[in-house]
Amino acid sequence: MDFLTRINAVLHRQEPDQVPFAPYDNLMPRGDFVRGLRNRGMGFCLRRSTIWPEMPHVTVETRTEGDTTVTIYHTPEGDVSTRTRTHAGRISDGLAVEVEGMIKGVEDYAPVIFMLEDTVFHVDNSVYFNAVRDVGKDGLVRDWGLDLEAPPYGATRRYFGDMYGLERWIYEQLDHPDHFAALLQAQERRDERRLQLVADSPAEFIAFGWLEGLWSPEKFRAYELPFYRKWVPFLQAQGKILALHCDATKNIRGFKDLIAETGIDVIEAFTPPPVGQLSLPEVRAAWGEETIIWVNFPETIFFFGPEETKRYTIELLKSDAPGKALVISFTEMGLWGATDDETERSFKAGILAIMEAIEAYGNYPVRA
Amino acid sequence: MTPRQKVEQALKGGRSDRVPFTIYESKIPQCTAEREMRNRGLCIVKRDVPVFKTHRPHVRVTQHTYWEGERQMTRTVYETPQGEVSTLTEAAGFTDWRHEKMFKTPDDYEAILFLIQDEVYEPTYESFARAQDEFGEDAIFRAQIGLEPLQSLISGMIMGMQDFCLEWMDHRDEVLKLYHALVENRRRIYPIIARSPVLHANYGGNVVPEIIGLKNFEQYYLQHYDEAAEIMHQHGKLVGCHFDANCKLLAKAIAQTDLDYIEAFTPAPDTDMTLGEAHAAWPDKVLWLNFPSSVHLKPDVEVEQTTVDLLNEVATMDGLLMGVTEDMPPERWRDSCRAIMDGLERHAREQPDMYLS
Repeated sequence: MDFLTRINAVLHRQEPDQVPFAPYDNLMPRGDFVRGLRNRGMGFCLRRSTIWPEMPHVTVETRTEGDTTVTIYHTPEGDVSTRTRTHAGRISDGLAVEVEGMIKGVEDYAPVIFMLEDTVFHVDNSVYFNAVRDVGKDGLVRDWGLDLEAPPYGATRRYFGDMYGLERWIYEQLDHPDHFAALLQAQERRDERRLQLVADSPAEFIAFGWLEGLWSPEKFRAYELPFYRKWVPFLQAQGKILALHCDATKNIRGFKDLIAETGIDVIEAFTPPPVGQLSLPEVRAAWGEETIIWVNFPETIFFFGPEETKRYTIELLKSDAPGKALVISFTEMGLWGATDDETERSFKAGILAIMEAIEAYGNYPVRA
Repeated sequence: MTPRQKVEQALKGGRSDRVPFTIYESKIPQCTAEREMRNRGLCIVKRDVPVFKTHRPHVRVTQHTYWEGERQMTRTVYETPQGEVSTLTEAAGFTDWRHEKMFKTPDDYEAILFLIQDEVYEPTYESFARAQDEFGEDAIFRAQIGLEPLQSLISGMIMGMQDFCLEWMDHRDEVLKLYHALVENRRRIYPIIARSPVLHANYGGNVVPEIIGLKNFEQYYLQHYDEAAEIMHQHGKLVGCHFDANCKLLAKAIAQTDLDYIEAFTPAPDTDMTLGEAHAAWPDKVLWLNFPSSVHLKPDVEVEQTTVDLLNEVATMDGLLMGVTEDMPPERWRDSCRAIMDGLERHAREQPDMYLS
């Protein structure tokens, strides 16, 4: 089978010829090493969005100060701004980190809520069709269900500073609950406008949701599970196959059963030990035989050497025999994360070991 | 030999078992066809990893993004002690439409001159070397010196072409002040690139003889190619120019330069010179072709035959590369590029004495 046929077999719960090896395309930079892997059947998951937002009554101004970009949003309810450090290297997909979010004080809620309510969405399906045509059988194109990745509750964290704003986001929920509630409701309305368009996306495979493990299972149940319960069946009825990005690791046990309640088709970015808390058999038992588990391979294994990496991969495959609902991937770091010679050597040797293990032991049906 | 080695061999005036085929990375997405062609020896040309960064420490740059209907517009404002200039661009897929350039009236000369003179350059050798090493042998990395000083005022972001032509007549002294400032900038860049890990660099291009004319080309372009070449050659590096327009008028002048290679040369039917004429005009220069863009629209069998016919125009494969340096029809390139490779391989089979075995 070619890669596209193989990955679609898994997504449609049919029998593949082999467990797919399907990293995000941006985590495997183009080069002769990656070409070799592609020749052996590795393919890409291309993440593209057919929907783009516009805020027609908001003027956006950007200013650069050294390596910092200041973005100022001028709204009729006031101005808010963000600061982003650029040229940050490969610590994030965009080589940049937002160090200051929009909401710094209570006075900033109104402009941000205005921006959310002012957002209109436009559809450009050519993004999908061009990507599908371009990649051919070497990759699978996936659309975004939520442009801020997380459901509304988690999405609100972005307005407080992305990575650096977690603390403020938490305190604001306690210190200004009414303001936060208004923000959350505006976010929900925004996301629901978008999801109506997602239902009509030409893409079958849709990214939907993000479970980082940064807040408690109780918060997840209260604020996020209802959103999944409303929209997952709706989108599945439109023929969509949905993937939840579950990169929570050391505390995933607390969310194990909640994940099952979402009804999501694909749990991607699941990271087994030693990085994650739960093994593949444990989550398989919790999520069922039909749930597709899209494993994020833990790169720390690479530092134990290629032989150990191969052994680990073989055990991983065997632990989920027959391998009908399993994908091996990189969703977090991949080769993109190798920024020095030693790491590059280790990572490349490890990735080759994964490929060898899949070729030797990943053919369907995988034997336990 | 790897794809990169074959390109390097050709760039140095040699040949291998086949004429190398190259495509700019920006023009070929990762896909089945791309992988198959790379398996057959296609070499990617990487132009997006710089060997130096440019700073303007005394210029404040702000950008203002807004929408006109579905069009995303960006105004970039450059604030200098000598005044403010701005540009207006519109996002258009992989490129931008340039609606406004910096120059609007002669009042803008002082601010633009300040902008040019405020540039500071910082080598980025380590990141370049790492990127080149990581990519491996499937790509050739290229540095950019920048547009030629006068060309910067024609096809860069400083002036529109029409403004340049009018100002050249009305305020030539002011235009030449900018030109001389750009010359000084380029002179600071040559040694930075020469000392970098890159093997070759392009110096400008997109020169349109119908705009600039032979006299101005001889007076304002040639010496800079030679200055750059002198310094590049001291460090064992190669320099070329992206001559993708009609070249007949400028052919003798180009021949007199110390440029090592002519890149993006597009043979007839798309320009006014055949490959045979170019080879006769520039016998000591490497020819890094752009396959005639119009021919991509022809059936595959004609694309392949055109490739063979082109190679049959020259008596040697030394210093010859076949490339794609311009846009290709999105619905055709997968097949037309395969056909080009078929043609290159067929010529090598049919004329084995012209190649290294």
